[in-house]
Amino acid sequence: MTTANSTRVSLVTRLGDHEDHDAWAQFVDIYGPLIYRYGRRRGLQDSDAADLAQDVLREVSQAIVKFQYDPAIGRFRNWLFLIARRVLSRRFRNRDRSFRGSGDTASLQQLQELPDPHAEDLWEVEYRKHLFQWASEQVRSEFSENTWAAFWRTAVEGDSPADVAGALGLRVGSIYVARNRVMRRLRQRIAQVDETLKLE
Amino acid sequence: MLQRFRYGQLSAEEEAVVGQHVNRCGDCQIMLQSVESDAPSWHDLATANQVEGSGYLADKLAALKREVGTPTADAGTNFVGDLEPWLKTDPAKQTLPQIDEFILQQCIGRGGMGAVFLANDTKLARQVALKIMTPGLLADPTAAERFQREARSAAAINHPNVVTIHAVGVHRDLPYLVMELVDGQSLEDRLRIGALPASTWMPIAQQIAEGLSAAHVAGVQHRDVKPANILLQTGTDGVKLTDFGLAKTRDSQTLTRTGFLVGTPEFIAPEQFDPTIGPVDHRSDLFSFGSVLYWMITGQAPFKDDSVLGTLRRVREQPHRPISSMSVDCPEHLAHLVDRLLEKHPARRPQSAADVVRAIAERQPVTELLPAMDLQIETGPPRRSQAVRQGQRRRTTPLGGTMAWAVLLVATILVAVGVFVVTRWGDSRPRVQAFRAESEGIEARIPNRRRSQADQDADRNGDDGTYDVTNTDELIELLDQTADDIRIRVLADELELPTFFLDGRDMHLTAPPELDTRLVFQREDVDERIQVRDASLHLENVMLEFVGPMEPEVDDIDAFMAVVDGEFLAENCSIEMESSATCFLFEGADAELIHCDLHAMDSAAIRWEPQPGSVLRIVNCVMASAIQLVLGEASGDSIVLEHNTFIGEVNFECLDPSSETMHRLTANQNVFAATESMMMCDRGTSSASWLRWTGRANQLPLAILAVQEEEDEDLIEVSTGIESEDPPTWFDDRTSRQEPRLDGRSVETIWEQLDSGEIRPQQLRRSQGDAGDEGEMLIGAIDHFDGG
Repeated sequence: MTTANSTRVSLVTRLGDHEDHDAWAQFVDIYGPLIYRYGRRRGLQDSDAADLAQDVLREVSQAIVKFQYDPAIGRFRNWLFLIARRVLSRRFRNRDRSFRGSGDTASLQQLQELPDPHAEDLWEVEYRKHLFQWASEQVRSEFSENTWAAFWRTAVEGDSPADVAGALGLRVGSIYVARNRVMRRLRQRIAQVDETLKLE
Repeated sequence: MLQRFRYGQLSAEEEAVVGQHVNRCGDCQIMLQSVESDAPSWHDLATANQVEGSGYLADKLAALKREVGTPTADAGTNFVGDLEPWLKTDPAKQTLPQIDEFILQQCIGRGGMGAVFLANDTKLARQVALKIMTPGLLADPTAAERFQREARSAAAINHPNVVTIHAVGVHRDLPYLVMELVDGQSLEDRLRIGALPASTWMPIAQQIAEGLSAAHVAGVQHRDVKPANILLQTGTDGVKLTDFGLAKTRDSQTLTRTGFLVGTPEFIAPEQFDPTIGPVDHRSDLFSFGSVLYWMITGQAPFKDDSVLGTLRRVREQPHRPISSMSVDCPEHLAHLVDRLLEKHPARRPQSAADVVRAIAERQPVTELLPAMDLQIETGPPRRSQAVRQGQRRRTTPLGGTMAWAVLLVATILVAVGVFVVTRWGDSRPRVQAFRAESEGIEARIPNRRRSQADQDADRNGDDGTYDVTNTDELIELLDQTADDIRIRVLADELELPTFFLDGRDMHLTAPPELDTRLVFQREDVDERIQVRDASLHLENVMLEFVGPMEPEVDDIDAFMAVVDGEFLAENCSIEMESSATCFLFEGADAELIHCDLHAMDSAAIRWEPQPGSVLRIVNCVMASAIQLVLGEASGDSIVLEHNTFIGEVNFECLDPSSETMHRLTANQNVFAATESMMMCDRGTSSASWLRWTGRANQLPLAILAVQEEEDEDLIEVSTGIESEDPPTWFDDRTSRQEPRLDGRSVETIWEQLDSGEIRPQQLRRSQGDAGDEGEMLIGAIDHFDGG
């Protein structure tokens, strides 16, 4: 008898198992910088943003252990965003209370109270970028210079395969093959972290 | 083919072949170029991030990894993980951490509940084992209290076969206990090395039984008897049981964390996860004891399957393979004892650990020592009365709701919902205890709920105290004729309820489970109503329907049913409320809805006008479509919502909060899937808090809670468990844009189907057993936070 979940053991699922230290470390490595950057974008200073990352991840870990995240209900990244936003607004609020009246506070308050319909879209973009860049770093060393360049120049920089083939001294079919190989690997690496994130 | 090549849809082998072809084929290259214009652009993804993390970030993240992910390898060498802040010492002095008079020397183990340290008792100059609760459990406000309570009761056991507890204390909010240090290894560790010599079986069994017996006499159940909790002392034949009663302290997260239930459910007694079998009591320990012996003797668990669910099913349903049929040289009476201990039904097991001690000591088959009453169970009561008795048990125990819930859960388990459910399952009981402990007002009331004379009569006389009625006239006649408490069973598919006034006498109205009995209360005029005053009305297993005109003015409360100064209990009922009408008025009464579904086409209301001490409990219910819970003026009442699902437009509305108004609401493990606001305070005239919300593990997939027009933050005090300081803005968020899907349908669809009458809310609840393995969860009584 197998469970319905057995095929979907993503990183997030593994977090539920507190004995899985690798999963946790990896999770911190991937999502810490993302939340840090989100905090910076929302106007936090370096140390505050780092604190934010710490608070959010801590909360995530507790919530996951308590089953407060249910993959059936929503995507992990939306949930993460929710927590990040909540922790952030709590920080703003606390700061509000302690520094009421300063000029700085007013702007923070605005930031906090401004309903930002784009915030979640922005988060989605940031999230995709972040995972892509993280995965790129991860798999970069698995490929030769040429293979990587074939991918990078065609898929990222938008050069035509023919041009890249010429520049790299490869044939055009090989460029496609190389590009697809890297893209497959990137998708695969990302799916290990978040199977709902699809790079088209 | 070229297209698929271009889009990377070929297998690696195909791709290599096609790639080589393209390298040579000019036509293909041109064709590829023509489709290249819609090339994937990952350009945006690669745009450099402007902000890079600092050294400060790196430090924080490194700390975070240590905090949560401390490898177990550190155990034995260090003071670990989340305990670090509690055990801080002055690094300059190079001292070991100290808790009161105990200096911690080494971490010798970590479990789900706490860490165990080798410690030096500086006052008595001896080595002890100090177990300190894991800080993670502080999130559960009652865990510390339970930890201590259980430690204290375990400390009351004074027996050579039980690890002695020297002291119980609290160190900076973290409770700890100090135990005698046992030099030895656990039975589990020992058995991993290899089988124990047959000559040791009896002495070990004897000592475990004696330890259990001493505990049971002291009123302490172990609840988690397993080889890991049985210590074999080095150099002697001494056996000691440890971790007494502490299993109770565990909460769901720790069960998962330790992997105990997930990994080794082999030692659990069936009634520990299936309440229909019987109550969990000292005999559950005896079952686990039987499993331990079986393992010790045969080297394998009596119930073992590849999966946790499979194992639990075997525990519950399949007989174990008798030791006598195995090629193990086991004394016959010992094999027989194990067989008896492993009986599924507690009543068939030896009835006390003391009996087991005697049986082992006298090397007698245990049956000969058992009282004759035990054999009576073999024949068993007739089926019908069994059902009746179960119903009665549910009704008269405060755990009823949870039991019913667990029964459903068990049914679901069998269709493989997943391992997560098992952990939920295991913790159903502790949760109820937690709830009772934390809501003192409720605890004080519910066990005191008076059992009606009718109930007691019925208990005495079997079914004799129950009147059967088949139509309205008979019911009216019956109500006229008797002045006492009354039990009525409706033997009809449908019965129209008359207007009646239950004054000072209790009534229990039920229907046989095989009938879907509808009780319709249809009124012509808003003045007609069912009234209950200073009495208890108990509805069980019926469908109740209110039909008739609504009150003309909003402020008039002409409820269909008014319960004043009494109590209302609906159990396993389906209640269809009339639109735009106040269907129930509870005034100074207690109300309890257990395992019910409530449904209304359009904003039907339940009005709650409590007295101090009133309790409204809604447990294990589905509230579908448009229902308003109107909270009146109150002080010191308690509203408890547990394991419910709210779907549609379910409002909790507070009328005219005054400075005296304060409802206490405890919401645990509900699904708030209502699309409208769950909490409204539409006439906030006061700045005083009117609701104190304490919640744990609720799910809010669509809900917007706490809409307050006055924007007065203080109207609702929220404590969610994780972040008690958070004001209600927390609830403003939608946790997901994706709708939860229930039984393959969206919430929206279900709601429409409910409105059109295509499905009944009852079906939502009852079809849970069919939850597929797609991870789709049904709405309803089963809490389904566990993911799919």
